[in-house]
Amino acid sequence: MYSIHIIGPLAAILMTLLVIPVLRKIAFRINMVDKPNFRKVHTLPIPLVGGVGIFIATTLALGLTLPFDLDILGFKNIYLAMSILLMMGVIDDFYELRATMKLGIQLVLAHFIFSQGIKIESLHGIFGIYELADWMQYGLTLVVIAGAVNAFNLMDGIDGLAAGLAIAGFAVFTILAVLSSQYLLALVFLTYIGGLMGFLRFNLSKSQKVFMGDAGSLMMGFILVVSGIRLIQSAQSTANVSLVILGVVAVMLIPVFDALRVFRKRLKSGKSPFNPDKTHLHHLVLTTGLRHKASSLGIVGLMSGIILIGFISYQLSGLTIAFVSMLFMFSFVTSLLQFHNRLMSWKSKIKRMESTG
Amino acid sequence: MDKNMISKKKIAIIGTVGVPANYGGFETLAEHLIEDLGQKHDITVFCSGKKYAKSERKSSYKGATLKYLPFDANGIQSIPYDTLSILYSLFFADVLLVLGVAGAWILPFVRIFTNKKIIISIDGIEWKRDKWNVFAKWYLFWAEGLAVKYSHIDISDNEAIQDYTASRYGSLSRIIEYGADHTMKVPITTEATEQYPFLKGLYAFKVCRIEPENNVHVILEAFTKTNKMPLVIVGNWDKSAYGQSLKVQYSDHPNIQILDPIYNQKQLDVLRGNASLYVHGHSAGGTNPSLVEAMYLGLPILSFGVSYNRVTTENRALYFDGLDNLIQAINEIYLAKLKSIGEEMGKIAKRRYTWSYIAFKYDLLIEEALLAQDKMEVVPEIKNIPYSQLLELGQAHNKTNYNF
Repeated sequence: MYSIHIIGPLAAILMTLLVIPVLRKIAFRINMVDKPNFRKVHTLPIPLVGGVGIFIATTLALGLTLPFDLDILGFKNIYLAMSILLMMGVIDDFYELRATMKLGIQLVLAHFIFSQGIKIESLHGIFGIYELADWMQYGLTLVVIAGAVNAFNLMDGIDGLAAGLAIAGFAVFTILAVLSSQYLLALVFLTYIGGLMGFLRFNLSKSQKVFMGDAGSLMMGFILVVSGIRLIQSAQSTANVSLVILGVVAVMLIPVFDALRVFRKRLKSGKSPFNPDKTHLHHLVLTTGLRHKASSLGIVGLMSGIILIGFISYQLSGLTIAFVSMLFMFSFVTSLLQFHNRLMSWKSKIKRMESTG
Repeated sequence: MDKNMISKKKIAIIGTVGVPANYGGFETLAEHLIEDLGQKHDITVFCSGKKYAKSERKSSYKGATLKYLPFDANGIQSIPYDTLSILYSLFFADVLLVLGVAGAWILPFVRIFTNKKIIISIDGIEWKRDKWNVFAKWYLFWAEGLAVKYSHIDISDNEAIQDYTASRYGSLSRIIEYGADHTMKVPITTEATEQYPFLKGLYAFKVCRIEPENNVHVILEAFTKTNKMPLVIVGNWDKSAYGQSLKVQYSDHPNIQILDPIYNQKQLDVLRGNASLYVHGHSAGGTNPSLVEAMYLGLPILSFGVSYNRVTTENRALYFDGLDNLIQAINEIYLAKLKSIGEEMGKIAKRRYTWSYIAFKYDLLIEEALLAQDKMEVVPEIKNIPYSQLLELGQAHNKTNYNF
């Protein structure tokens, strides 16, 4: 570890605090704001500049590392892909791009990442599967990247949630990076934590609120999933590989499985899986009566719980059991929340029946 | 002829505190079922050992067998209490008459492994009530579903609840209310007027548990804004912070007389039976025994206008939905109108709310349950036809039909 591991993140916080107010003013002028509608939980137009703000701030902060002999430029291709995705997100925040178009761009970027050598090569014995065939490596890498990016995008529904999950995720990744002696990656993760913390200062504020927008959530999802795959690869031949896989899966579990849960439910009721509604995890948590910040904190808490359960059962048994218990915890909590949701909706139905009787 | 046709059927009444009845609606019901159906059936009543001391326990009461279990009939203990009562009754009973849903989790097993007939009264919509914490609500919400699904017959005490069970479960719930002919009109004595001088004039009366869901705060506030007649209100004020603060706020108001609980039934009957107006603020589910009793006494009713109360009073009483129209309703009252409403209420109660009639309805259900194989539903057959087939038949519009 170097002094830059402290300076970098601090610089990122500072830059976000400086950059976002400026972007906020511009956003109002060029009308880059999120307008309230029936699915949204806010009532005033909110600037969608968090993503761009974090990007600018973290880029500048990472620029500080150039004088150090850290080979930060080795990431330039990934950075390029991320910038394209960010740009797509910004355009989407403006004009609402078609879903197929967005998915197309994401798949092209995923292909590019694969061509850079970042790929899922093996399942490392999960469900008894090890080394994968080439075409399976390709298919799986593309599906996982595109899937995780979109899943993370869907998590961005209430204040502080996407950022909170990303911070927790990067924190886990930092530990994994240090365990695998990947100090440069650790620095990158810490810098993003800094940027996200600076963003939260505005996201959680009442008077100066900004959202990260699709730009922000797509970018965060992309960095998380690509870093995750990269972490696993770099731990490939070490004794830590199982632990790294466990951490990466645990970090991505809530967004990915919540998206799968919602899709399955929509398909079951005969709707398109992309038909927007109010059934995501954060909507369910809100029906318990918790406020936004508390709900976000609750979901980040659930994530920590899942990580803990995963780690304990990994220590006691192994990877497969760890995955099963993490999934069990997730589905137990979501089932309970859905049950509560059903109760609340009957309560309001009865209320209507009572007054029309 | 089948031997069973002439032998008495064995009925177990489960879920009440017990008899002799000292408590609420279900206990009074159990007592009257024993009196009216005891000749025809062999009735066993499960009683709470917590509420009847060893010395007061009897092995039989008015011809019914009593069994004591060492649990409370209400609160969390009602779950083991009802469950063990159900299991115990499997050894002897033909029909299980279960009052309340606390033990319903075991009913699926009873249905699968035994041939016992189950009649369950779901008692209002218990899971919705504010007095339960979230875990109790979860349990009751779930248990109610099992109760309706795994009983042969389910009973609602109110038409409005029948609508709810039909739309949530597709079940045809039967309606049986409560009786009220155990209440008596007690004449005013000089002794009573000495203690309660307001008995000489007109007064509005209300007796209830002091809880927000009974709209106590609204009713108190309304009577401070009118001088038509004073309000006499009896309840357990000191039990909650809500009651204590209302007592402090309103006890000095000249138009309001706040009284602590009266445990002497006769004394309470004097106050209630001679009131010029009965105010009923209950908003929680179902037919409220206290409303039915007031109707039987021929009191004019001014009631909170939720569907349950409207159904109970056949929409012929006076109603309010909030503070403003309560004040208005009180101000618009005149004596001739009160008299005619009171008579109307009395007529309804004598037709619908007598224990012999209620017991007769239960008897019909017991007979029906003994013959029942499957449960009656209100879901139309057409729901079982696949959508593609409906489409072919030109009946696709029947895919979604809402009965309520």
